[in-house]
Amino acid sequence: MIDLEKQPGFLTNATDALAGAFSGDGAPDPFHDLRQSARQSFEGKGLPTTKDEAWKYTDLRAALKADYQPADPSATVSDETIQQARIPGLDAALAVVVNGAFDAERSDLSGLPERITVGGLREQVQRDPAGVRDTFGRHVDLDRDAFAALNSAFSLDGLYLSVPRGVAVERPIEVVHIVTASGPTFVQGRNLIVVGEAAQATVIETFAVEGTGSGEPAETFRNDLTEIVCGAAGVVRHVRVQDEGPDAHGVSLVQTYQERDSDVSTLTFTFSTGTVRNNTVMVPAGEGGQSTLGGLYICRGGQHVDTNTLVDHVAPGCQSNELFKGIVYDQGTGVFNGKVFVQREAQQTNAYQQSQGVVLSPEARHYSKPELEIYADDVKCSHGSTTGAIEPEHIFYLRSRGVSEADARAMLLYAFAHDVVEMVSMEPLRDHLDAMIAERLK
Amino acid sequence: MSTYTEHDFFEDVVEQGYKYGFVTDTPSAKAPKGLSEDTVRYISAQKEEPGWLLEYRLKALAHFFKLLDEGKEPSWAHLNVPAIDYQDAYYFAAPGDRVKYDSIDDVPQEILDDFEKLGIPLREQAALAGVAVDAVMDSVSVATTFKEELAKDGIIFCSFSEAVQNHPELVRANMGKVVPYTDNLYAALNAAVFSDGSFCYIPKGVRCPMELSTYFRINEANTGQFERTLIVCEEGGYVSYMEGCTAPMREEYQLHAATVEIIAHDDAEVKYSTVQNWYPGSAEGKGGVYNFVTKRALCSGRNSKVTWTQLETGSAITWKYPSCILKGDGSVGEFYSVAFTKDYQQADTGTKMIHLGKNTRSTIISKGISAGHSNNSYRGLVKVNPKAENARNFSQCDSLLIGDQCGAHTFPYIEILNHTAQVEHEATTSKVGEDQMFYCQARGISEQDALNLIVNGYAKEILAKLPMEFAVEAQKLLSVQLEGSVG
Repeated sequence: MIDLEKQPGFLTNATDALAGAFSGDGAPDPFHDLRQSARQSFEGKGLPTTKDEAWKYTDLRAALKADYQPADPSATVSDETIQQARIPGLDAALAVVVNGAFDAERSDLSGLPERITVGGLREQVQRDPAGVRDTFGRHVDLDRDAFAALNSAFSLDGLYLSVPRGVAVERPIEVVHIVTASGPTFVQGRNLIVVGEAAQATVIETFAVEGTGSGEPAETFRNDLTEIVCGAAGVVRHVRVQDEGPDAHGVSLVQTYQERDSDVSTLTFTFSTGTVRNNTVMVPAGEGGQSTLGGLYICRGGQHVDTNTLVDHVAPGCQSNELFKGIVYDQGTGVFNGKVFVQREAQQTNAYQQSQGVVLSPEARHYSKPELEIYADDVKCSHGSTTGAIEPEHIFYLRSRGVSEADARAMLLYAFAHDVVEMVSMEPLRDHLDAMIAERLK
Repeated sequence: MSTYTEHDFFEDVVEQGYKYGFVTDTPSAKAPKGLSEDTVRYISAQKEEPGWLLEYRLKALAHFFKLLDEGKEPSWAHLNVPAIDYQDAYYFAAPGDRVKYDSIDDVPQEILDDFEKLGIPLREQAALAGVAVDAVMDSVSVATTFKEELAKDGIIFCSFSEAVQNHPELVRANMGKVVPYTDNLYAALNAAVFSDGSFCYIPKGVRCPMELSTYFRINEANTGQFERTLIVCEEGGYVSYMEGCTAPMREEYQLHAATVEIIAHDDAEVKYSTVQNWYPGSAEGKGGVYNFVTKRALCSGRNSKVTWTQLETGSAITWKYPSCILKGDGSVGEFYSVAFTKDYQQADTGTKMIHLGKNTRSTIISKGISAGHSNNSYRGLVKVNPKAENARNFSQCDSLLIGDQCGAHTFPYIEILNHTAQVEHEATTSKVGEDQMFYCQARGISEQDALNLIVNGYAKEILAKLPMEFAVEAQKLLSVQLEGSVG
């Protein structure tokens, strides 16, 4: 697919498709320069291999083997698929993204305050290129991340949300990403969320794959990038639920940038997937900022979930709180690599990081690398990382109270996983996540 | 040592800077400058080595050049290492024009005086009761004390070159077994040009009656020191081994690339303690020793145990990861470390615990203290292999920051390939508590003394693990280093 040696025309074809998509709408791509430099950056770096320190434990070769074709942005999906991908009982506005393109017809953005702008990113780029340019791609380090460069070079569309100063969007916005294709498909999605001073927004992303033709879901590879820019004293709640099935691979980056006294939280729940790498980079850039990140991954079969996080404390007096938990079964592999970086100016930083892995079968693997890099002295930073089996004493305690061994294990694992669910504030979403955990732990 | 009081302690604290920076004025025999096959042949010939060893050295040298050509100088550490010109150094220097001293009476007085100044008495009657010393200056072992007494128990404790001559079969069977020359660039360099070092063999069932100690000193200018230590502890044996090191103050850097190998058989126990006080460079970051060391222990036997304890205060740059390969079932690896950096020092140090056998256990406690413009990193690996049932590890890495221009970093790698493993890691970073300082100062303790007290308290847990002879020195050393760190 993106093996440039085997398929020298891939990037050119993608460029043509991109140019066509924009000129078809009668407008040039205002990000031509950014895309050019992103493309050069990607071509210069190539895809990461396990020789790259940041990719030590994740080998993408098997996941990239299929003969992926770019997704067709004009495809449509059935209502049934959309409904299935939604969080049951959650009262939310709906944004539907099919094969990386925003689908206005299927979306239902009613019930949101009038002053906000919400819709397709591409449409917004054409309507107000200068406005989007202020934030689009501004905080992403393309040199650090080849996939972010690839996304920036060729991504087409996604959700655009802009909340002006002082507006609190009470109603959550649910973004349903669906891939529909008959063969192996490569999809790139891009979301831009800009929350103004003292404004508030909640965004939930879910992902699904719909098969066409024979009905079997096709193998997919997603490369997603979500940017969240939060103004002073703004509040953003961002949750992702990945559960597309064992043939869905992907790399994603959630990049947040926060001004003074803002409060941003981004959580990722990974259930059934193939090989997945989730990157999160949070930059609390103004004094008094609060950054929360967390996630849960339950790996079965040959599933491989790699979580990579960076909290870059550049401003003084900020707090970050990180909690990731993983349960690995079968031949599953869980990876956690989290870094807390405290720059010289970032005095009075409080940074806390916790990662825990439970390994449940002989062939399951868990790797963890919690890092601290600290250049300021008046700070409190700590990390804890544990990996192991379920404590036999805990099982014994429950068994001595008449609980069967299977139930005791399920109960303990459920309690372990539920800690991350506790970080979510929406009741229906919590119930949904709990139900998914219970299902997955069966 | 027992009469050492708190008063003495604070007296010592007043001494500033690096007090081991003197140069011993003694003529010396040096190999020609630069690194080549000829240098290796020269060293080997000087030491009258057997053919197999020269061959081994030459193979290692070829590998070193290969790695160098491929640009494989380790660059992953959190260190800023200036380019090293391997041709601009001497690889062999013998103090006093001799490469070998048959008895202590042959050793020139100035060299004996030098070690006396360092507090290392080589005359046995003056030696600390119960410590046997192998003193190495530049490339040559100067003296080894208590040899005869140890030999009564069948213990071999001598310089590496002597071991090559007298016990070639033991050296040949064990050397390079734990740290092969292909391990890394500096291990290859060491294998090619290693000059001297200590060899220690504890026979089956013998508990070494005294502490063994090696004292390393770089004296010559522009000379690299490449010592090699090999400790073999047979079934049921026990030995406690200490290592100390100093170097004169020099404007230019000095390279120190040592290799330490430990092999512990069934039920054997080895304690390896280091007080590393190489010259750290001037306060402006000029000169100093580059300490690139490969230390590794193989716990090959059932229930064997290896403990690494280290106090790292010296060297301009430290790159050092004393490791344990826990191969025998029930084997135990321990790593206790205090690393102190100040001025422009850089340290990237930690450990690797590789669990291969069943029921293996490891403990890592690392305390980093950074001051001035220094950077101090802990880097460690805990790996539980698929067959290592019921492995356990506990790691704790704390960092203390003194001043706002320094850095403290933690890079632990935890790789779990077996579902019965229990692995815990925790790390904290903070500065010396203002409330603690205030408490001390409110009771009339000066700022400097208060800092000494707090830092020594912080490091006490580790220093207490050092053998008594070292613990006192270590505590003093830490205080001396702390001098000038406040304000």
